[in-house]
Amino acid sequence: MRILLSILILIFLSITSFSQEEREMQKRPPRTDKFIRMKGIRVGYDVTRPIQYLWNIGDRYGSEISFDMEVAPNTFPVFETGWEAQKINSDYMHYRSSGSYSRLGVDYNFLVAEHKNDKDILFMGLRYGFTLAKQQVESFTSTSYWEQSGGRFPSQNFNAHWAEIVLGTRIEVLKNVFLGWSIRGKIEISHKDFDMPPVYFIPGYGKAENGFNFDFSYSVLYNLPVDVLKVFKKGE
Amino acid sequence: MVNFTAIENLNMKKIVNLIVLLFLLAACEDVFNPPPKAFLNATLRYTDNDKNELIKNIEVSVTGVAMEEPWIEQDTTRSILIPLNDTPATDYIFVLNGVTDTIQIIADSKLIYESMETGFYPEFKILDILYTTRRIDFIEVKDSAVTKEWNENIIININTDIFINN
Repeated sequence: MRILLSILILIFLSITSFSQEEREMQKRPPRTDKFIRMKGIRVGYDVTRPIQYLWNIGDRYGSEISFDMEVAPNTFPVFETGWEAQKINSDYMHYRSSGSYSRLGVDYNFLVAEHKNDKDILFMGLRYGFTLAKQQVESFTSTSYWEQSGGRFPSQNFNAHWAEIVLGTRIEVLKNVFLGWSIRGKIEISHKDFDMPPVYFIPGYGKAENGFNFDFSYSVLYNLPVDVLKVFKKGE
Repeated sequence: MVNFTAIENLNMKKIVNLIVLLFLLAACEDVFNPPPKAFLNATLRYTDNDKNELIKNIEVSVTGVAMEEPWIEQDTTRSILIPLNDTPATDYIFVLNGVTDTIQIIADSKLIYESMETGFYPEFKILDILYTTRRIDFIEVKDSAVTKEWNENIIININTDIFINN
C-alpha cells in the first residue's frame, strides 16, 4: 500500500512539475549552455557510506564509488556500485546483513553555466538499483521466568530491486576536483523474502520493510582529464 | 519552480555544501528494546460467592514446579499474568487462600518475529489444562491464544470452603 502511495505521489509530482516546466519553457528563452562542460569520466567516492552508523540504528557501514560522464549537454549517465553491511548487536539479537549493490541511471543538470569552464551542476536524476546479499540471525535470546531461551537461523541469500529519484549538486572546488551532496528517495520494487526471519536490511536500499526509504550522500569526485568522447571519435 | 539563479554564487554553493556535511555528522544513539512477552492472563473468580458474600478478596501465590523463586507471592488480586514454558507442559503450584492446587497447562509454542531491533518471542496455543480440585472448582478456557496482547485466557473458578486442610 505504501509503495503504491509513493508511486502515486511521484507520478502526481512528475505531472505537476512537468506541466509547470512546460509553462516555464514557453516563457524562458532556450538554454545558452548547450555544450559539454565536463569532458571525460568523473569518479566519485561517497564519504558518508563508512560512517552511516552515526545516523542509523545498529552498525551500518559500507563503501561506494560512482562513475559519471556528460555524454550530451547537461546529461550525465551514472553508474554507482558499492558494498554495504548492517549489524545489530544487542542483549537479545545478533544480526548481520551484507552484500554488494549497483545502480544505473542518468542525471540532468538544471544549473545554467556562467562561463565555458563552469562545471558546477545542480541535478535531478533517476536510478535503478539492485543487490545480491545475504543475512543471518547469528543468535537471539528471550528471557523468561522459566529459563532463557533462544536460537539462531542459517544464512539466507536474497536479491532486491528498487528505483531512486535523486536531487543533488556537484561543485568544482579545485581544478577537476568536486564536492557534492545528494538526497535520494528510494522506492522498493521487489525483494526475495523468507517466512522466518524476514529480510530486514537490503544493502544499498535500507530497511526492507519500508516501501520508501530516504537517504543522502556526500561525495568527493575527480574528473579524469581525458576526453573519452574525443578518443573514441579518433578511434573511428 | 526553484529559482536556481539564487545559488549560482560560488561562495554560497560552498557554504551550502559545508552545512550539509555538518548535518551529516550529527550523531544519534541506538536504543534497543527487549522483545515483548506473551503471558497467560488468568482471572480468579468465586463460584459460590453467594454462599459467603463477605469473602471478596483472593490471596494467591504462584510458583513454577521445580523453581526456587515464586512468580507471585501472596498477592491479593482477581487477575494474574503468568509466563508459560517453551516445553509443551508448564506446571504451577497455586496457593489460593491458603489452599494448594497444581495446574498443568499444555500448549503449543510458536516463535514470533517482532523486529530485528527487539528480537523474537514465543506465543502459545493452549491445548489442555489439567488441575487438582481442592480450592479450584473448575477452569474455563476463554481464549486459547496466549499472545503479547494479554487477552483473558482462562477463568479459574474457586470455592470459598473454609474447611479444607492443606
